Amino acid sequence: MTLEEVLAGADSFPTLPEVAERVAHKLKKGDWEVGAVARLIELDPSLSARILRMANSLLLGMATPSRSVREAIMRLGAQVTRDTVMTVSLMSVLPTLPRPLDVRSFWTLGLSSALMSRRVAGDLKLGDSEMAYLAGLVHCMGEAYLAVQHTRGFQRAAKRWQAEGGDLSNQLREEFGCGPREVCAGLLERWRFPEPVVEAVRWYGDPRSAPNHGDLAGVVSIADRLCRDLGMGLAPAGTPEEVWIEQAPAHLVERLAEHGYPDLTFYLLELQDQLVDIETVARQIFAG
Amino acid sequence: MSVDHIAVQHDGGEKCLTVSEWRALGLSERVLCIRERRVRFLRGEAEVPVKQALAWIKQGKE
Repeated sequence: MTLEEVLAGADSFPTLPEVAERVAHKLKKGDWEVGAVARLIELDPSLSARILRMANSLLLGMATPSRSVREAIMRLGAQVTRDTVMTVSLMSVLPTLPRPLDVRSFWTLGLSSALMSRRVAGDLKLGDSEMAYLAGLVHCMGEAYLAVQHTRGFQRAAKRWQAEGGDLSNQLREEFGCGPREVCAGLLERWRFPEPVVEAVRWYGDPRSAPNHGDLAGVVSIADRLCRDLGMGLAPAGTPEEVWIEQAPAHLVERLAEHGYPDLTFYLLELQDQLVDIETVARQIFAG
Repeated sequence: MSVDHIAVQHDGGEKCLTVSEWRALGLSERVLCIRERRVRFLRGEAEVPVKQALAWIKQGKE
């Protein structure tokens, strides 16, 4: 199959709720009028409930829970509100996934990678930590798209991968003729995601080949590998455990060392405790 | 303030490493210790919370 054929069904794939797009657009323009943003979010009751749950979760560290969307977004501020709206909206797009994927594990990896990407981008002083968050959040959407739109082919590839180990991307490429990163980038282009995010998800497997946003792709690569080293994402049973961070781009690892992190294992130690909070948040968001 | 050493459980016991010695371990070994929660930071006899210990290390106070 060609990439175009694989993406031919993209129109029937769930899209982002209109409310999410309008909120993101409004906040991007710097239009931060709390009442107007809250009213927009409240147009979608399910989105409002999930945003409140996430805002009140341990992850965002609020001592006392917010009772309304308006109160929550006042406390979160513009950037975190935008990230939160995008996160819960994307989670709503995919409420279930076919086996062997599992929706809670899938979004735990996405959310963890998003937070880790924002953190690494900040530590590397790359500037646009919001792009990093978004790219981390959506970097595995290609697998989800293939699982939902091409379930039988996806499950054939996953079965081979579970028997043989290695990289799931390679089995998916063999099955479909294109890999999940290309599929993800194609899908995000259709959703009109920012170009740096599209490029980062396309190239995070090989950040040095990215034409314009190699650093952002590298950040996603580091975040993905740190999260996988902590047991997130699918892994074939019975195969030797891979040390994922060995594959992190060396030039960015060196830059992190210059910024006070002598090696990536210190990140792993820090992230380990956050993992419990992130899993709690994913559980809360998918409750009811 | 500083971290005296990193205590790593190993073969049923615990060996104490400086930050440099920790870094000299193989990457696979370090990752395995972290995954299995066999790493503690110590100052004297007291265990230092990970976040605090890493902040000190980042400031070059190991």
